[in-house]
Amino acid sequence: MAKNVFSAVLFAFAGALIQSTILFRITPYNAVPDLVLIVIVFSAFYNGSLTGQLTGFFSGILLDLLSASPLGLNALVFVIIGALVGLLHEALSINNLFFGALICTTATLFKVIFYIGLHQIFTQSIPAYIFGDPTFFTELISNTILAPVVFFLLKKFKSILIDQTTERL
Amino acid sequence: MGIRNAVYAVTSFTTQTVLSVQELSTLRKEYSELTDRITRYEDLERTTTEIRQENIRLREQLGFSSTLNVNHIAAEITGRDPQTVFSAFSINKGSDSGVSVDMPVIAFQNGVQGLVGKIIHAGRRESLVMPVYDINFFAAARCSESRYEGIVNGPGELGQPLRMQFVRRMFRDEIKPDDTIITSGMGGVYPAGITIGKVSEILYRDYESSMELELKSSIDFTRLEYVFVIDFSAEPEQSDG
Repeated sequence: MAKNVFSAVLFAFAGALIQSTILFRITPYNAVPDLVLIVIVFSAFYNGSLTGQLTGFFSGILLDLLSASPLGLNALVFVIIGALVGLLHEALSINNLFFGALICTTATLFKVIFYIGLHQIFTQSIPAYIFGDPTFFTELISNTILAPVVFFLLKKFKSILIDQTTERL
Repeated sequence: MGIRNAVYAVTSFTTQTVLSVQELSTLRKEYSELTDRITRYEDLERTTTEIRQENIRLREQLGFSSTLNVNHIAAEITGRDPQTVFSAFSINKGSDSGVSVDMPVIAFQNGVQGLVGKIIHAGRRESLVMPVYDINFFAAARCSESRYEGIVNGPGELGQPLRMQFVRRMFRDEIKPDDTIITSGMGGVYPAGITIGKVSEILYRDYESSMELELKSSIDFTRLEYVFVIDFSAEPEQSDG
C-alpha cells in the first residue's frame, strides 16, 4: 500500500505542477482543472478508502505548500474525498473510464460545497466558489473532460498505482 | 542521309527525354531541399521576431529598473496558484536573491509604475505573490490629486474592479472618475506613491458616513510577465547617473 500511496502522491504532485504552470494558461475564466483531485479519486477508487485517505492527505499537504491556501485546507478536503470515493471501491465493481468522469464531477462538486462551508466559518482566509459563476463551471467541466483521459493514462502505471490484490482492471 | 537523320532524331529524342527525366528528378530533389530550407528560415524568422519582441520588453523593464531609486529584485512570473479559488502567483526569485515575506511587488506597464501585490511566501528559489485583486489584499491608499485616504481591498477575482473603502463621504464632490489612486505609505508595507489604479465609479449611500470607490487596476494582469520586488531593508543602490 505504501508504494501505491507514494506513487499516487508523486503523480498528484506532477499534476499540481502542470496545473500551476501550463493548464491555467489554457483554460478560460482563471479556472484551473484539478488534476490532483483526479489522481486522488483514481487512487481511492481502485485501492480503497485507506489508500484514498493517505493519498488525499499527503497530496493535499503538498498542494498546500505550493498554494496560498492555509496549511491543511487541501489535506482536509482531499482526505474526506479520498475516504468517500474509497467506499465506492467496496460497493461497486464498475470499471469504466466514463464512470471515473462521473465520480470526478461529483468529487469536484463535493470540494466546492466543502469550500463554501469552510468559507462560512473562516470568511476571510478561505475564498469560496460561487455557484453559477463561469469559473466554477469551467473547473467542473474541465475536470469532467480530463478525468477519463487522466484515468486512461494512470492505468498505464497500474503496477505501481494499484494494489494488485484488490485489482479489478 | 535520311536514315542517319532519323536515327539521330530518335537518339536525340531519347537522350533529351532521359536527360529531362534526370533533370526532373534533380529539380524535385532541389525543390524538396529548398522547401526544407524555407521552412527552416521561417522558423528562424519566427524565433528572431520572438527574440526581438522579448528584447523590446526586457529593454523597457531595464529602463524602468534603472529609474528605480530603491533596492529591487527583478523577477519573472513562472506560474499561478494551482487552486482556482486562490489567486496567488509564483515568481522565479526567492530568499537566495533577497526576497522575503511582506515585500511589495510592483511592475512597469504602459509607462506606469503600478502596484502588483506583496510577497506572502518566500522559498529559496521561488516566491508566492498575493496580487492586488486577492480578497485578502489590503493597502493604505490615497487620491493623488485630492489626497483623501482610504483602504484598497481586492475583489477576489481577476477582472473585477478593486475597491477603495472608508473614504469620507463628505469629500465626494472632490473625487472624480479617472482620479489616480496611489499608495499612501501608511502601515509600512507599501512605499508611498505607487499607482494602484484609477477611479472608475463612486458608490455611496445617504445614510453612510463613508463611501466606496471602484478602481481599475493600473496593471493588466493578463499580460504581466516581469515584476520588481522592492527591498526596503537594504540601503538604496548608488547610481552614477
